[in-house]
Amino acid sequence: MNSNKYLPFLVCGFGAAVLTTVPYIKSFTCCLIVPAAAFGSLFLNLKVNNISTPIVAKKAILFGFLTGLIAALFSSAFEILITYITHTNDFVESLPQTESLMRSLELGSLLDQTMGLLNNMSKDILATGFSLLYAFTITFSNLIIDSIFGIIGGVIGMSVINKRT
Amino acid sequence: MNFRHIIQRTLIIRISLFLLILIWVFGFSFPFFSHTDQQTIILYQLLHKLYSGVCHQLEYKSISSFGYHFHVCARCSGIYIGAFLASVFSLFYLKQKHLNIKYLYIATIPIIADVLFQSLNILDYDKLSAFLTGVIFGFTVFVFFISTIENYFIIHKTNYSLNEFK
Repeated sequence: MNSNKYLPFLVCGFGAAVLTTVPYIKSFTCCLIVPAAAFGSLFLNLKVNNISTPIVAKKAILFGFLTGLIAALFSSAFEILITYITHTNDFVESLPQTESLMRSLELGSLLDQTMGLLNNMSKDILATGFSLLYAFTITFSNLIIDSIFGIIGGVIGMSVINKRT
Repeated sequence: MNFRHIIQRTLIIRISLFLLILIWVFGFSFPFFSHTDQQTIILYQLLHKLYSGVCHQLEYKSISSFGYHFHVCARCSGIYIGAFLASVFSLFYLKQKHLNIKYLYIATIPIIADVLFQSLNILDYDKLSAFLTGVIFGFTVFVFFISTIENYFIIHKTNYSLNEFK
């Protein structure tokens, strides 16, 4: 088994996940972290495996997708881990504000149901540092969004790298 | 493979991308289209959480409408709206465009310069400049993206290009 085959998207996906947890960096790079990681993974693949032939679209899409997937898994894991250690996160901190906003709109039974769900998540996080529903929600949304952005980065990266080589 | 098949494939790709970007843009600019009330506040909160994965969502950097902020910052809004504009144009301009790579670099310069100047405190954060540099970047990136996708799914698979029929 050639481990170099998996190294580029593992390294770049992990790197992207680390960067997404750094607030200062995230505020400047925004949605460009995962596409840049996908680009980096294609570039790294060429360097590590000494490939000189042009990258085909299928491979670029696959690399972008896998980079996004790895980035999503690691970034979700980091967020869950940080929440577990600190017993708090952005969601818990902003919940009272969200609740007061929602209460001002007098939603009735719908509000009680929604707030019940959100409060349970918040209570779990404050008590144990972990909420299964919260973990599932962030992992699911990260997987979808990062995979799409990874594919976009892979396709653009292929175009740039092929023109350069 | 005739002209009809080629144009069908091209249109399917472009309409799919247009719809995907339309949904994405509608999602983050939701407060602009729908006045947030009792029914939509929960959706607003859900969308806010969904978009938190792709943007810092700092309120002072976001465009606001009816007292509610967009779910992404002005720069990200610009990138997505630029891509959306390009997807609209691509529906009417069917010729396959192959931009030189230098245009991508040129389109990247304003956005990088804007980020750098603001990071180094040479310029104050300006939503308009962030938005406009984002639009330029998003538009160009979409043209490259669609050109690469069509190159693979049409030219590579069929050995034909729409331009050959003109």
